[in-house]
Amino acid sequence: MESSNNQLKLLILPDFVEVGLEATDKESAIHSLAALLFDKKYVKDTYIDAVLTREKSFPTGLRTLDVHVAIPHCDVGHCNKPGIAVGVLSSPVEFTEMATLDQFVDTKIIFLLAITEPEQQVVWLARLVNLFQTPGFLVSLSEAENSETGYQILTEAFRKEVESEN
Amino acid sequence: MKVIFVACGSGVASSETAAYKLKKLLDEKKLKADVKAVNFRSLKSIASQCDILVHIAPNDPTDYGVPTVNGVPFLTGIGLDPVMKEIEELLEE
Repeated sequence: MESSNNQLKLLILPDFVEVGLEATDKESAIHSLAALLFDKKYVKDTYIDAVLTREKSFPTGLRTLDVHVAIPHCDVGHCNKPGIAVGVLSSPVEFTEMATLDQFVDTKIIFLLAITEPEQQVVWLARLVNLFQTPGFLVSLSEAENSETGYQILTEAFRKEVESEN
Repeated sequence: MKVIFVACGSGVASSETAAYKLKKLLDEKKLKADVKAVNFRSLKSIASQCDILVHIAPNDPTDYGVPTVNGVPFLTGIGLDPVMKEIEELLEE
């Protein structure tokens, strides 16, 4: 449990959560979030282009029951440390829906992923996906007052997820 | 034991996560299968090695010659029950 908490603290730094993200389109939203990861040297300077390129062919918009999300990411070679940057947009931006090329999703929350070892981090990704399916989680995150509150909501939800596994 | 491939664009996040969830669900139902996350790019050469393909890459008109189901429900939870039913039925064949 302790080590999960430590992992979580390194995975999502308080600076990685931005509530009230202003962006006119998905590219600028991804740029802003990638800068948060880059500032802390979690990703290389090739990361942002790799994410945008991958998003074009393998879109990551996800239509959930209530608040729609996206999970942009790229190959491991562009990342230094595993991390997740979370952007709650002031106004939703359009992402193409995963596994389609012509369906669109109005995305309110972006989870930008930096993955270095898929087999290690898949546990956290599975927890994140469980949170998407947890009633109320995405709604409460989308209504967070500010980034600090957003950070609390996220980390608290992850902690509960980890606890429920034991 | 039947083999299930889960394919997405890079085998980094989507396919790994969907494969992880699928394995958990199969365990819960006491069903056995060999589940592997694979890269979409290698599908053409390896698809014949699986019995069921769980697909998360965009509208791919290619017919890989194996029963194929949509993998996105493993990430959103929406429409997951019908997909699991389909997989269970395919495993029983």
